[in-house]
Amino acid sequence: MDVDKCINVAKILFTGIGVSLKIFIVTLIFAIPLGIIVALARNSKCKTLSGITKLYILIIRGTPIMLQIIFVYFAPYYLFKLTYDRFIAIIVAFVINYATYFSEIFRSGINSISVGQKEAAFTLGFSKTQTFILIILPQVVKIILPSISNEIISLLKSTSLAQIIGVTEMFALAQKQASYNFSVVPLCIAGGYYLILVFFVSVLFNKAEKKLEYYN
Amino acid sequence: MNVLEVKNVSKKFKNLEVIKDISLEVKEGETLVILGPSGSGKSTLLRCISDLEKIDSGSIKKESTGVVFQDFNLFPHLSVKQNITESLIYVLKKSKEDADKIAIELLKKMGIEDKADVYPCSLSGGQKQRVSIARALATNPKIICMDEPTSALDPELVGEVLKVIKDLAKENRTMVIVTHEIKFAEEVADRVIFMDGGIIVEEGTPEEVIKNPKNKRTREFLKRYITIKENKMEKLDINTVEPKDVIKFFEEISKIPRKSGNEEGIKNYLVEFAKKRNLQVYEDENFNVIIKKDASKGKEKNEPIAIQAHTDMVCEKRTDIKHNFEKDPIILYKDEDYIRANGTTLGADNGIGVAQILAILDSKDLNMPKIEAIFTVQEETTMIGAKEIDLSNLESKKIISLDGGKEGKILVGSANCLEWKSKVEKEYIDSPKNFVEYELKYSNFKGGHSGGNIGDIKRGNPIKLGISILKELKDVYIKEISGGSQVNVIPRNFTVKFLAKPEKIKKVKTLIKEQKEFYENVVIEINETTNEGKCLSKEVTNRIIDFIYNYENGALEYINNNVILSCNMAAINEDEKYVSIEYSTRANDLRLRDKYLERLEKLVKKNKLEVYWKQELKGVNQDINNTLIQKCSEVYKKMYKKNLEKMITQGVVEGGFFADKIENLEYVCIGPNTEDVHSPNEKISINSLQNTYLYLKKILSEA
Repeated sequence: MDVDKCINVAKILFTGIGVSLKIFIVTLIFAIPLGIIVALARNSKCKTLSGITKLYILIIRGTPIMLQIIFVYFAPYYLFKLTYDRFIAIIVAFVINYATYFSEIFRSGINSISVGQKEAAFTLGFSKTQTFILIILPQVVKIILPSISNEIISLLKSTSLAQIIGVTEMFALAQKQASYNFSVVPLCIAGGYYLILVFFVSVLFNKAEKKLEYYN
Repeated sequence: MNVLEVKNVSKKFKNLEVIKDISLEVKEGETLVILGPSGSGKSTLLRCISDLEKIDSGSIKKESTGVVFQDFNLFPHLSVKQNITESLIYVLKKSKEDADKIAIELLKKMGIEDKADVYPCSLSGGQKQRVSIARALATNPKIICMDEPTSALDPELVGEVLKVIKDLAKENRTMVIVTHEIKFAEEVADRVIFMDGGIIVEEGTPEEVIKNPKNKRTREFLKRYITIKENKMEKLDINTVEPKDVIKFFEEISKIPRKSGNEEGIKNYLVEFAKKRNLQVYEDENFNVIIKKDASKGKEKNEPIAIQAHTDMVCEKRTDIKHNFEKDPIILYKDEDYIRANGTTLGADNGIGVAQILAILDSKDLNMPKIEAIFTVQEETTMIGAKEIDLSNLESKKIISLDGGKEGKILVGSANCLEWKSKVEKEYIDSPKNFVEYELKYSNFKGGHSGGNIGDIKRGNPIKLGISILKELKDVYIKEISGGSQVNVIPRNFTVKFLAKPEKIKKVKTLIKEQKEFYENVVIEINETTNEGKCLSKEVTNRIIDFIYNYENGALEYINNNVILSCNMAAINEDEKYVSIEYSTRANDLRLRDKYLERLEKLVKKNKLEVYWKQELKGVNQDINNTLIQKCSEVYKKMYKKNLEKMITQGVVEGGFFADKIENLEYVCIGPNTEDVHSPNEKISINSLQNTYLYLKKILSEA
């Protein structure tokens, strides 16, 4: 492949980045809050609630994400002859999957905060919600930042799985270009794009960690 | 008003009952300290009170609480100030400005306002805990609960936190504090609870619970933190200490109440004792007792010897001790080498003397001359026993008194004490013109006993001092005069109203200032008063001033730092017709005294004083090389290879009265080491008792 062709392929792949990022960001927006809710539900004193959450986490972590994506998109069709937007399907699948991983990270963070913090807040008259939002959560964020960044980076790369139900994102384009040109160069270009994206996300998290270093 | 009422509260963790049916109340402004070993349930109780634990049964009625935790539990992600303001803003819905104001105010109070904007991680433990106290105070709760507020701190930081808490206690904050700082508890608590095994074992003032714990568990706990006197004490087992025979009798007579003036019981005991053993016994209406025991074989020809003790004792007790000296027995305790009572005088003064005499009278195998035992009454008060006892049938010319309190020292001389009351007849005139009336007032002088304290010049004599001011003024008229109390007491106050020319008063004011500076903590005032009515004539005034001014006061003569001649200007009073002056002289050396008496007589005559009352209390004035004293020295040297120390006292002892009744009496007074006599801490050394008892027996057997 000559240089012009490479530039052309790079341009084509670049148009796919938008879709990849869209999946990535929308998933985060839903998965993080859901993760917190799942973590709280898992910690709940109500045994049914925590039982159901445990089962949910077991199933999602215990099966391949590819299966989950296909299941989310095709199950309504096979069962009820319903079809719906592929993008929504991929978001639903990712949110359900990543929320479990996030929830476990949140849970470990919450559990590492000493009971004394809650007790102190209680004796000062804070409500449970106030205690969680004002006292617990800010401390949890600092603790879990390194592991959550791991998971987020993994999500960024996992967006490539969207193509299996036909969502055309960046990696799907790369594969097409590779077989069309009979060359690995498009794949390498895609790899370069992922690398750059991950680099930016890492920098972002490093900055955040630095910012939270004001206390121990 | 109670701000906290805990009623029958129980709490279980799984199967472990941590709190068992506890009830307590806390009044507003009260500081309650909860002490107890780990696992006693004290922290759980505090957590129940502050709603951090649910109780299983019972009820807790309370006002709002704030909590200070052992490990602070500050919010690490918030600044010091935010730690305090957060609850004000989000719970009490105050504006940020108001909240900041409150926070800064509290931080100032805690002495850390400069730390407002830093984060807790950069504070020392002591500062952290102070922030946490400020945080707890911010919402102004009625009750502050503190759970071991200093136990997570380095020892050097404990002080700063305790100080803050003490200040809160002074402000009458209501506090419930769980702590291990016993000393702090003692200082800060209004009430102390001691918990063990989930129940309240002991409750009371810090004085009661910490200083004098009644419960064994409390004592054992406190022992780890402070030394408690009582914990070393155990009941005295008379079979384990020597001299057994003496201690056996001491224990027996300690059961008999024998406060001065209440000696009938002990008299009956002594008479019974003698009759049982077929010993000759005499008693008199004062309850004095004399018992005679014949010489042992081979000693019949030796001179008889008398041993003497007084049967009464001083009765003092600690305020927290319930003891009825009229009927309760005194229980003996062993405290290392000492015998003592539990919070009362022991009565070793002079019960241990009585016991030694009884042991000697009781023993069958001693090789001794005829022993005459004298038991007198009321030595501690009127000395009426020694004064009035009939010694006419006493064969001994030697008396060994066992009323001493120091091993290795014997008392060989006591003061002869002369006491006088003289009067001057009053003569009134109209107050002269151009004179102003003043009142000169001396008070708060130390006073003291004219026998024991006369050598201490810092005590001062306000009568002498006041008169010296009048003498300096020269042209004065006395109007009213009074000062002092009893003839054997150094006066503590003096007041005189007199007329003088105002221009002269200025001069003496510097003199008064000097007096004030020399005698510390005394009050001397001179004030103008209204000039009314009559005053004493110049002549009478001058006689009074001249007599007191020239009266030689205080310690006059010494031997080896012992005062041997002293005088006390004791009191001055007036009635309608006379001004009366009381004074006394104590002397161990009669020749020196007689010289002094000549001077005194001249002074009395010169000022035309009429002596209307005089009393002589005889002293022991003997040759200090007589046979008894020599024998004592000799035996002591042989037994202990040390010289016996001979002492004389300016005080009056019973021996003086005996010396008055028996011509050429030889008298010594010995005794084992006793401490804090006449106080609830009175104790006697067992080792020293053994020594002096052996010493006494040796003297008697060689006599």
